[in-house]
Amino acid sequence: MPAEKTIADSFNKVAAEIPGFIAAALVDVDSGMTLGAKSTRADFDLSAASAYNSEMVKQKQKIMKALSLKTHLEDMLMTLGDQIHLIKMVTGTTFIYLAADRATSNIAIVRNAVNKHLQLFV
Amino acid sequence: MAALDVERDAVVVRVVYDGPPFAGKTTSVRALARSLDRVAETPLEVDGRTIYFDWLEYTGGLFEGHRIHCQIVSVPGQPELDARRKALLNIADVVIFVVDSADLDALTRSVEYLRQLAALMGQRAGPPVGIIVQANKQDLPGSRSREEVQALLGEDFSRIALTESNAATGMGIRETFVFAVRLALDRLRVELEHTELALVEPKINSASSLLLALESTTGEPAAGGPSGHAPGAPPSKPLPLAYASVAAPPSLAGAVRVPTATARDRPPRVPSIDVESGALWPPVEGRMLLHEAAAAGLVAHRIGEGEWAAGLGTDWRVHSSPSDEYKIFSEGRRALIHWAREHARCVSLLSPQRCVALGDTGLGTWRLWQVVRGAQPLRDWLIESAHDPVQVLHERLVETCDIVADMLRRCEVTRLCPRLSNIGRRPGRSGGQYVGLMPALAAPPSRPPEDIEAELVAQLGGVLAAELAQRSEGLERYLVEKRRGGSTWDAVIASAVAASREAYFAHDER
Repeated sequence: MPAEKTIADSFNKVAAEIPGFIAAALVDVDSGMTLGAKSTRADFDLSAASAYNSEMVKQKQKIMKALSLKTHLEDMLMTLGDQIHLIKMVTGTTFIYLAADRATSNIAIVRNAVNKHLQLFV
Repeated sequence: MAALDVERDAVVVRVVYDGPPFAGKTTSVRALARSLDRVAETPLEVDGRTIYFDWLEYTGGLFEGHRIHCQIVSVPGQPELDARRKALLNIADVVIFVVDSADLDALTRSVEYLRQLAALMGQRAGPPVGIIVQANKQDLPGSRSREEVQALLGEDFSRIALTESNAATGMGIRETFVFAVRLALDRLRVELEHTELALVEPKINSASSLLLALESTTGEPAAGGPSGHAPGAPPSKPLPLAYASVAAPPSLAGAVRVPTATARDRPPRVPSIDVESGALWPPVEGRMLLHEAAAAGLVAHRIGEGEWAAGLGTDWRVHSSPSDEYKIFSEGRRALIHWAREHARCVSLLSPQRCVALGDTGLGTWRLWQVVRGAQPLRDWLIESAHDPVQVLHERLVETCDIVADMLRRCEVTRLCPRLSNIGRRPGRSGGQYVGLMPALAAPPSRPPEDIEAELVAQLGGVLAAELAQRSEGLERYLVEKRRGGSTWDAVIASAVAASREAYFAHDER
């Protein structure tokens, strides 16, 4: 797992390619802890958001198990009134959580930027 | 003379820990403090050595309708502080003599200390003062068993009471203490055949008043004591737990390094609701928990070198180990993530109301704290039943066996070591939960006992030999009467009762 500073630097690269980037974090699924983060808004509580999102990932994995789906979770996209939220699984135990402004960005840009730099977070 | 503290309506019993240097006296008092959810005070410590004494108070149990108030004191072990040692031994109602059972040389040297102690106690007026030898450091390789220690002590001490302990983990400490209080009360009972309980306010009722009393006895200036104070009189202001800047007594001048007021001695700030984002696990519930804990007015007390605790006497257990201090925030964050993962891994075993916080100490460093809302451990739940009808106590013992056996199996791949003192009942549901503090990350994973029933006998035997000693006979009778149709755990309970009664009578014979 990369160091916290390296993770923050990697998010700088992602942010540079996403107009309307708000915040992003690499999150530990089991504990919900952020392993590294970057935010452009002081009022965006990434720690709380990451913890709740890790619960969402765990619930989704439970649903997949309940449905006996023999596949894996790749990403989860959420469209809010004015924001786009992406959860991208990095390894079985970590995921990237990213929020961007919907007015200046779109799902394709966000997905593309995250996928391009994904290896930096492994 | 036996004294009754009018204010507390309690008989005062003084338990003194004696023994040669490095035997584990201070560690024993601190382990006892932890098991009683209290803090031991040490007026002055230099390089980990006790210079005056360690002090702990505990009130519990009843004697002739009065509560029992225990003043627990340990002596300094260094030969140059012998005057203080003797002064403290002269006020003992019972002595626990701690020996290092893993070091043969130290053990041999202990005999001379023990002889001195026996001679000193022999000079005391009134009924004989009980002495218990506590064979400590039983965890170390090469440690001698109780029987081997007894043999090494020689013929003169062949009838002395002996217990085994590992003060580092607390094993055997509480049992030895309970046994010592019993001996002190036996002495008091004999004393009361000739005299009546004196209604007094004890001259020594705190660490600071003991320090002043020590000054008047040994003629040394007490550390930090207010000048011009009448010897023996309670000081106007209690002394702080960590004595930052004190004058060395003349006998020690030049021999020891006196600590100055450093950051090391100042209490770190306990984490509160304003901990930084990312410095708390779990991030959401943790903050709510810190908010509730802060209402208890948490203040850190030093309980060991670099080890701090807060919340004693409240619903909260707040703890930070010596290795939990970080100069750089990111280093602390890394450790916090390890802690969070470890907690997440054990989440189904742990009591839910707990968090780990990385807080600014206010001293230029960061500290990781475990914050746990107190929950009743099984040991206390059993003791609570000490005066209930025997079938109620039996039902609790059966449920305890169920819970401990289940927890021993479930904790197999974790660092959690299930004990009666750290497991509790899960509220509103069957089964148990781990209510203690998480062991340090450096601690090795716990090895499940090969024989769970034998482990249960040992754990239950401990509490049955100590706090529930008076119930063992009734339990034994009850188990014989209900032999048919009994619980599957009855054989285990019967063995624990038998083991506890064996220990009880073995001590009595001595």
